Amino acid sequence: MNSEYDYLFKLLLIGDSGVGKSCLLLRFSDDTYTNDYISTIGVDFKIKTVELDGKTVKLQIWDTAGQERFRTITSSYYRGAHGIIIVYDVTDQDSFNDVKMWLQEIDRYATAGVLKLMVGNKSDLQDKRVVEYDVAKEFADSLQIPFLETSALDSSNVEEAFLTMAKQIKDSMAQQHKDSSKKDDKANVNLKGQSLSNSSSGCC
Amino acid sequence: MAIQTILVINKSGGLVYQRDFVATAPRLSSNEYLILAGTLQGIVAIASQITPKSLQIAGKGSAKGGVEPAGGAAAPLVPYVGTLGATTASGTPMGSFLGPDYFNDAFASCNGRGLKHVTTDQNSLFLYQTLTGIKFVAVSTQPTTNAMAVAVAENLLRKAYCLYADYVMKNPFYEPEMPIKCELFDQKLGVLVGQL
Amino acid sequence: MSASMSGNTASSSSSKKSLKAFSDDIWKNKTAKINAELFTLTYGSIVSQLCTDYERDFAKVNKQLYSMGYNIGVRLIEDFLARTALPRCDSLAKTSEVISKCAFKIFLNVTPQIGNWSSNKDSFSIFLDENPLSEFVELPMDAARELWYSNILCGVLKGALEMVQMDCDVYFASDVLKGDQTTELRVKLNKILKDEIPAGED
Repeated sequence: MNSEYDYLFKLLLIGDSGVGKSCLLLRFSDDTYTNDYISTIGVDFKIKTVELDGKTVKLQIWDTAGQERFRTITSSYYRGAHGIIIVYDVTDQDSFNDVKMWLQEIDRYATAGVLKLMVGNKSDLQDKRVVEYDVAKEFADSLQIPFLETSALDSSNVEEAFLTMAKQIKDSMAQQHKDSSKKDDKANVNLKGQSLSNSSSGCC
Repeated sequence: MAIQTILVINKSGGLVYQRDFVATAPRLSSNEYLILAGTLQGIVAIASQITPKSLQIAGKGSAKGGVEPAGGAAAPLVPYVGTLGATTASGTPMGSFLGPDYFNDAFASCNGRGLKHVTTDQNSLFLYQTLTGIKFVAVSTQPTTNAMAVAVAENLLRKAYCLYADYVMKNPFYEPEMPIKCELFDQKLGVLVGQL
Repeated sequence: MSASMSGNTASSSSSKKSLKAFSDDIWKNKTAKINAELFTLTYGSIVSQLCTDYERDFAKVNKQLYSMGYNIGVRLIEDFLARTALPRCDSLAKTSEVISKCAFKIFLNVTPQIGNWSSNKDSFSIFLDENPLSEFVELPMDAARELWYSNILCGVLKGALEMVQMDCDVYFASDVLKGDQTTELRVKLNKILKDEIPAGED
């Protein structure tokens, strides 16, 4: 049982309540669980098993509740995350505005140099759209965060994004082995990200 | 009291080791164990905020802003339980530890206001957390609230930590925070649990 | 191996004694040992090989030793905690005492002096009167300027302290190998990584 997987990566899914974080993952994971957990302890889990370079990798996705009342234990969910996916709803301007707040949380709680991905959900609801693709894309580019839009109708690009993230995580681990003095450099990347996020605050 | 399962959970709440010791016990899938581990991580965090002791600490310690734990003096001591895991009799080497035992004194429990022990109708769960944030978890085959059983479990889990320090962390090819695949650790842990 | 005489630690003399006795017991009765010459020689061959591999670019050698030490520290801390089960230190003074009397004692069988505290008590020095790593070492002329021969120790301390949620800078300030009066290791606490302290601690 213990030898079933070689790597375990922790991915964290964050974003405002109601943007469709949980739906986003339904098609992605191995198993679908009821949402009992999320209402109890503020987090639900989805697990996806993938093969990378001949190794079995489990992606454990921590699907957090976007609600305020679970904030007190936030830091324990961010701890040690390898990748973080920030989700907003393209039909809800507030959820997009709040992405900045979520990025601040990442800076505060997550490991420096954690991989990020921004996802605009519900892109199939074209008539209700209020967040334009170009605006979001420009914002994401300014922070050097990969960005994509997705919908319940077609989530294939999410799957792809997740796999790319898993691959990057694995590669960065191999890289750390080669040169573990990289630590300082990683902190620099993060600092750069912070200053960029401040300067770009006027753009949207 | 026998041990049904031992888990090792890394500081991020990821399950890095799971082993069943009772062949007949119902098994969970690896995904279910991963969820159990993640859930425990959340529950420990919640428990640490709602136990009477933590409320008491929050009430008087707020002036310091909780930067550092106030004084180690109040840390409860776990009594040393002899005979458990004393392996020199059988001549088995104890890694970097000199026999007859891994330690032989009472020791402080640093998990002062977190979750340490859960009992259900069918099992008890014991949790030993290190200062680095690793959680060693044992699930027993029978429920127990006996103080002696709790002490035995804490001793057992600290010894599992000693084995982890030797056979996992000192294996230069083990990748920290990742699933543990170390045969020597498996073996030694089997011997340790078998002695109960 | 004499007891530290530092007057700067905050704890009472009785707890000092007990920490010393506690550590002596672990060193004598609980810890497997190897031949000291083999250890010294192994470290020496690593340093000299690095000097060759990096074509006597000693800044790079220092960095590599530090990095190797860091990787040791993040692992060795588990051994230290499993062996001692010491509770979290409530002050940097206590931390310095545990490093000197317990960690150095258990792993290297020396008890360096602690001193040279900064006025705001956020940094201190570890004075290595004896250094088991460099017992037979004489630095060549070109290395004497730049090489911190025992720089691996800085990395070990950095890595170990980080794992108990203390972000510190650790570096050599002087080394008798370079002709200095003392061998001084400086530790500066930047901050305690509060958010990373495991839930449940007092």
